[in-house]
Amino acid sequence: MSAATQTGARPAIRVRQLGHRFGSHEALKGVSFDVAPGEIFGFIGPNGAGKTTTIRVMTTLLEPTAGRVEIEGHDVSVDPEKVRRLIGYMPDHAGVYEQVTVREYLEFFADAYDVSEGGRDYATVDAVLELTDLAKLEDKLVVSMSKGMKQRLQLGRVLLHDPKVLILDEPASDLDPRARIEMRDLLVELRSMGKTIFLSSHILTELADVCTSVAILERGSLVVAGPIAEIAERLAAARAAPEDGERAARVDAPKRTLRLKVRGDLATVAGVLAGAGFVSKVGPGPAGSVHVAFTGGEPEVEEIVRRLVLADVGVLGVEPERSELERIFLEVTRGDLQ
Amino acid sequence: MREMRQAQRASRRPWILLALTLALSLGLCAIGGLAASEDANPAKVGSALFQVFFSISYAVVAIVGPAVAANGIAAEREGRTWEAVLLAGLDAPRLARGKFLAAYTTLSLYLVTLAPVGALSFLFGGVTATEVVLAFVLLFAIAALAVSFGLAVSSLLDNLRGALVGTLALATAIGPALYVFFGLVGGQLAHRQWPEVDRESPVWLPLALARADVDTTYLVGLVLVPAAVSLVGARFLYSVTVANLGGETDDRSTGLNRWMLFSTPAVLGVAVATTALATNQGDAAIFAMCGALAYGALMTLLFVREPLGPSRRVRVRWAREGASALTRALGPGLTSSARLVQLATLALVAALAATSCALVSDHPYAPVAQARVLFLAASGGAFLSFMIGLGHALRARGVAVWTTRGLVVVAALAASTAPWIVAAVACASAGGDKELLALGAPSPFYAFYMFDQVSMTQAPAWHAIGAGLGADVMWTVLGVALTAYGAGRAAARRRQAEAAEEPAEA
Repeated sequence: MSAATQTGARPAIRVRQLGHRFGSHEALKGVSFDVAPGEIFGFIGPNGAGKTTTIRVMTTLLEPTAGRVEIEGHDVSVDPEKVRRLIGYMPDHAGVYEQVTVREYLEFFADAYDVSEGGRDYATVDAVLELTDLAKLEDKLVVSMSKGMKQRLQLGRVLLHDPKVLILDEPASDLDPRARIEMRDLLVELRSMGKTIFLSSHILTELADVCTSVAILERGSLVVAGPIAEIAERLAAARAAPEDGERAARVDAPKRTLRLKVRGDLATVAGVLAGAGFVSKVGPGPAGSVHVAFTGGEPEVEEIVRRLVLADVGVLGVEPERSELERIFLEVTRGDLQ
Repeated sequence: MREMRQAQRASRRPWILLALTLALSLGLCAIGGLAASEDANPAKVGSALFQVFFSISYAVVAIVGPAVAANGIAAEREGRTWEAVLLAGLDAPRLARGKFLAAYTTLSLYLVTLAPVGALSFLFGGVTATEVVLAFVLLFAIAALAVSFGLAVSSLLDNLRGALVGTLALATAIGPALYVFFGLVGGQLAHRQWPEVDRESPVWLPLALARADVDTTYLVGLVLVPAAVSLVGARFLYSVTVANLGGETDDRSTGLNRWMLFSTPAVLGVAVATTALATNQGDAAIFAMCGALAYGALMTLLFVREPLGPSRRVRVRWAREGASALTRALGPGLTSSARLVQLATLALVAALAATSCALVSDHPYAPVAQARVLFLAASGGAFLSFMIGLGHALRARGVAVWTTRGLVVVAALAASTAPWIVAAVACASAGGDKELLALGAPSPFYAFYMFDQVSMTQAPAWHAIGAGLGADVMWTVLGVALTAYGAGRAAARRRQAEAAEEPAEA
């Protein structure tokens, strides 16, 4: 559960016991989570985990065979029209009309969303062009634009009716690094405007930088959900007091690797850390850094740094080789083929 | 408007229009030259050019129209722009109308480009300006039906190539068949009714409308019946398109069920009018009954797409709106739709049988003609009851829609042919004992064999008639049993699905 549940505020998205079957295949099994207003919520899972099915239910395109989904308090199955006014959905690999200009494209959707005063006032289109930095390209044919710009145009489309909740399915897939960074910055800006953003992806680095909370889905079941720090704490607590055999096996103390930037050579660092029992390996890393493999959590990191400082080894930087989100993902999922 | 802009930027369109106009102009010049070399009478050349031009234009419209329309919906689905359009708040009827207008405008552009070529025939004589204008009006009406047909097929498919190939294949198969039926055969019949129309005029309706005297026959045969057939067809294609554009759990049934309520009396009216106007009312009554039974078979194949029952979304909307019992009966639901189809088709067959019997009562061979109509109605009605029951039972067991349709068609074909094979083998083995042909009674086509068993001069062959009526009872009982089984099974599965909908946690 997320912050919304804890504070008692109405969640922007509320999913309860969501289930869906395609014939004999059970695509979703009792999925439940909340997304608090103003969050950037990462929805993670391997391909085929059920992410797109969940999103299609949330966007009213698919009625679930079991459970409920509410957007801003409106049931998606019962009030699809209201929900469609509240959400902006950008599907993965979605197409755009190619033989129209950027402005014509947005004006068409402004008319469809009925935010153009019957085609007389396109102030919303102007605002969206400014926000997405597409104003300079407004007369350009969509067919001649790059993938990154087309993705930006799609985002512009879903903002036309000023939705409270943005649901973005793999928004940065197929984008080059620059376009990814620009997309990430745009999402952060949208969050600062009060939008709730539900972001689905299987690229963890893409989510780690922007998400405040996550949910991890595997084989149609929710594995874990909540703020990233809170999940990490829960997992640490579970490691300390395993509830059952299976859970214990999945939450064994993780092996981690630190990337250290130090004033000194590899041999010195290895010598200093030789006495630390939780350190299993010290080796060379990229660009003159040192990799330290160890078992444990933050106290062990603190101990490594303390030992190096006491041994007069200048520590210039300490960073985990994997982000918190990547570690959580690897810890809670089985990684079976799906 | 967006589609028009897109199309305007596609550079190939002016070239296609130019090529089409040039090809048709050259073709007409060649035909005109050939006609003039055989008969220099300008009026005959003009009439020939008129028939040839509008026949070719029909072919262009019948093939280009569906292809242009097929592009509309399938391209959106394939290009992944469809979801964006749906979520922007455009509902299925608005989308269907928009797509229709876009495709129809494009096709109209082709027709307008061809107009000067079509006017050539008027310059030669043999046809009047009114007839040319009426022919163009008819062409635009056919274009509207062709576009609606393309949209209906396109709305079923998710990829553009499949939609184009499927639409073109169907248009190429159905277009010539309709030309032969309504054009060539219709022309012959029209000549019998209105001698002012030339015997060999496939494009006969504009000529008949312009030349025939205005009376009841004119109003019914040339205005009401064509208008009813076109409207019923257009409304059907529109309803199918709208239903296919909706989501799986949207109400995709009410539109089609309403169409059925509207079209059933219209089909009855057309059938009765055709019989009443015909010179040979006995044959016309049989022909009209065959048409009504074909309509019933179409309804049967249509209703099997129904879901087990209304989705939660639909149920809540009904509750909010305080939907009437009629609204609910016309809404989604396998069993309710099966009952509706059963009621509508059987009422149609019964009403048509009664009306036809009354219409042929003045016939010199009235008892024979009436018996034939009743044999066909009983046989067809009973077999339709079986088909509806089979479709209902299969769908209630969870068999997929297209598999169910396939199985129903296979069952119908098997039931139509297998009894005749058995009868023929038995007859041959027994040294040509024709009484054994009664073994063919389970075939729905046995009714036509029963026609020969009644005559004004000989006593009826009761054993053959009894076998036919016995088979009708068998199909009816089987149909009722399958319907009852389907209803029970559908209700059980529905209860199961509704129980699963409720989340454990409120």
